Amino acid sequence: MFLAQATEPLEIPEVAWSSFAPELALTAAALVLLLIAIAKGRQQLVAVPAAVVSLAAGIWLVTQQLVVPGGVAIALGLALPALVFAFPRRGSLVQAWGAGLALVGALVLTGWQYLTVLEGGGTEVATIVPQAALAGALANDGIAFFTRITVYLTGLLVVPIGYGYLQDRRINRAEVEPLLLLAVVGMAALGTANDLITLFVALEVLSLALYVLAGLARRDRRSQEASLKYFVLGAVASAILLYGMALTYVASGELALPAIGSSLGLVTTDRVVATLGLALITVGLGFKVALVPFHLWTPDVYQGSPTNVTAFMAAATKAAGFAAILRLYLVAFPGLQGLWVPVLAVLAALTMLYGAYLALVQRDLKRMLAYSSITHAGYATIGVVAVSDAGLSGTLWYLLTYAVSTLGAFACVIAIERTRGGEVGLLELRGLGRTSPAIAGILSLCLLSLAGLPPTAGFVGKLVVFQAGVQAGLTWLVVIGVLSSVVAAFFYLRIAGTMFLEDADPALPLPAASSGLTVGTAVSAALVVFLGIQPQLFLQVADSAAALVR
Amino acid sequence: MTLLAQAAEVTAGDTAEVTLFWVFAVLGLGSALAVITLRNIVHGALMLVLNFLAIAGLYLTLQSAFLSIIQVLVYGGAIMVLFLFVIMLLGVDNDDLLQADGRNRLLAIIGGALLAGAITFAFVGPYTSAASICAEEAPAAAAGQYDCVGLDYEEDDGAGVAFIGRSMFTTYTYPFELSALLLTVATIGAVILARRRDLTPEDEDEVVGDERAEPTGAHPDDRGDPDLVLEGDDAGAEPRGEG
Repeated sequence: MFLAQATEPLEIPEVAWSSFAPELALTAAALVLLLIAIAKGRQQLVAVPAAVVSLAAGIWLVTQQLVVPGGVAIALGLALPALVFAFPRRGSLVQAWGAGLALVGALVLTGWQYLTVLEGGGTEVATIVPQAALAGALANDGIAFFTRITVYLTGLLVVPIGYGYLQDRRINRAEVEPLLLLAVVGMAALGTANDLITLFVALEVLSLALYVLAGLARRDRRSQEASLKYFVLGAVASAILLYGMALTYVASGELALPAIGSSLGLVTTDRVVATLGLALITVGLGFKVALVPFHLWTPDVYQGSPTNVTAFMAAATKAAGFAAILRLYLVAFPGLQGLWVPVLAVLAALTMLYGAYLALVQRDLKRMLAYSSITHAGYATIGVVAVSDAGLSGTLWYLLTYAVSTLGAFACVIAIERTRGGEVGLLELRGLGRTSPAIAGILSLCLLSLAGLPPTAGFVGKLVVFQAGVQAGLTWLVVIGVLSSVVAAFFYLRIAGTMFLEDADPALPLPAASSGLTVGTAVSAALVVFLGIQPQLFLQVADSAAALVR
Repeated sequence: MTLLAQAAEVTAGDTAEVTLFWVFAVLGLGSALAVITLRNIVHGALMLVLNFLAIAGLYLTLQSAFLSIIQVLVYGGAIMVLFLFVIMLLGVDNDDLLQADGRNRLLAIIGGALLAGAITFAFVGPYTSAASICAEEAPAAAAGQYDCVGLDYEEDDGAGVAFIGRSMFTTYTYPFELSALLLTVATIGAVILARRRDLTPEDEDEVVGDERAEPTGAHPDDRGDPDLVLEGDDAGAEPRGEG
């Protein structure tokens, strides 16, 4: 009956490929890496055709005056057969290098996009001209670019950090890197998502990938538990979020976030339904970034997952989740500001206090870092409830500093865990400063950054967010934030003290770093210092990021 | 009940539609009650099927054929098969799950009542109050009034199928392609989690000596294949199909 209907020819709209070029490159890389993993002994049979396609696409792009994306395609195309040739019997090295190079390519493409939309090229008053693309499904604005940078950088650091660890635990399955890349794509897509459907699908892409990655060490009970717990609770949270989105759609009749925003500003719009939707969305997203009443999954999942996955989850998921929160609340729900600002402020206060309090009594390092990540979700929320450009760029900047610091800390945990196995408790850190000063020093540096002490990135992050909070008149919240920072500083410093002031237990094996781990840790530590001393570069980017597609 | 009937009379007006609505509404509510009261878990699952079908019928009376068919296919088909599969897997006689203590029951009742109240208040309330305008030739809703039209997509396409298809390939191209990525991730995940060669969890292994006996201090779960692990190959097998 339906088939017999006369249908007019459909006009397929033009696809703005450049608007999601980094994600496109990463998806292609993930699929090629999967194919290479399947090919086993005959990897060149996959690598060469993929390289030819990539080269042809690159050359065509260059002839179309798109030099940067063309160059990235050509470089990746050349790198692929070279990698397969260089590591003939080491499939996992091909995977790791391929994933790393693809992430570098994605970062380059992000920079290219950023410079393209930047107005006034490089002068101090440069601002982003936000662009919506693909019928408004995707927005290339400040949140999008900054989330991309944070997430791609995290992925780029996690690949070398986790390589040796996965080998040690014999869980270096061929699917890990492609899955990691696809999770990164989901996060970047979440940062750009400008309508409810895209937002939800992107959130599910990254969540599904993380559920699987958390359960990677299948022979470890805690990893199984982490995966199952994350999956069940995450599915419930997604359902609640979806319900909230449906109610928002009922109230506003729109799916695009800017349209929802203007519709909720009208008098005729049903406030009750919109409020219900807002409440459910808050619950769903609060779960994803672990705000306090919805944080219960965090310690177990962070502790049980393989440590490199934990590092990735802590750093990147938080950035992506907050990108979604920022965009939803600032673009779609400014009309209900009187409702969500107090609620989120109270949640932030609870999160900061409760996370710091519970981190205080933890003995396991991974668990303590999990509670610390909850606390940091609270600090980042201050920038959201400030509802200002300063708050927006402050939150984005805070998430970047938090990401590099927490990556460095988890990398040191990996180094200790490699030789000692199992859990890393506070007692096992005794005297580490004497036996292996480099790792102890870097761990202390990253913990100082997490605590927010001056020469590090974390200090600038906290400063910017707290400033935005005070400017918005939320002095009480900032006071709570400072209080919680003091409590948090105590347990970060206690770890440093344990490492440097106590005597070592000679029976414990020394931590060991593989070359990838060394590079990853060193880069994280260097970024922690660099962003702390020279924050101007990225702060400018963050400031110009306060332009949204509305 | 009176509330629903009122809503039905006002919106439908047509006797056949009202009759169908009553049939499906009673079926849906009755089967939903049966799902939670029946002791036999398989009977409960079958009642859930009936409930899904009744809701599909309600969609049909609302002239949403596509949604109705999807409801039957996805819920009545795929999801119910999974439900029954899991029930059979766990054992039909296993009714431990049905035991709830008094506190849980009280919490469940309060939660359910709150949800029902909120939904009634938010959705049904406005459309049955004095402020709603549901007459046939009603003017567009003014401020503070509620229009009866919920989703106003183009009326002349086949129950929304063409509409859905068109928007999927125009407005929602990006999320549509993104959902392909979602399926890819799900497939990879299923392959990883369902791999054949697998060992028991480490804490089920026999523990020999104390835990720190291993000199390298390797991770508890370190038994497996040396380099890259890929599903589907037997341990140590040479690449097959050579020559």
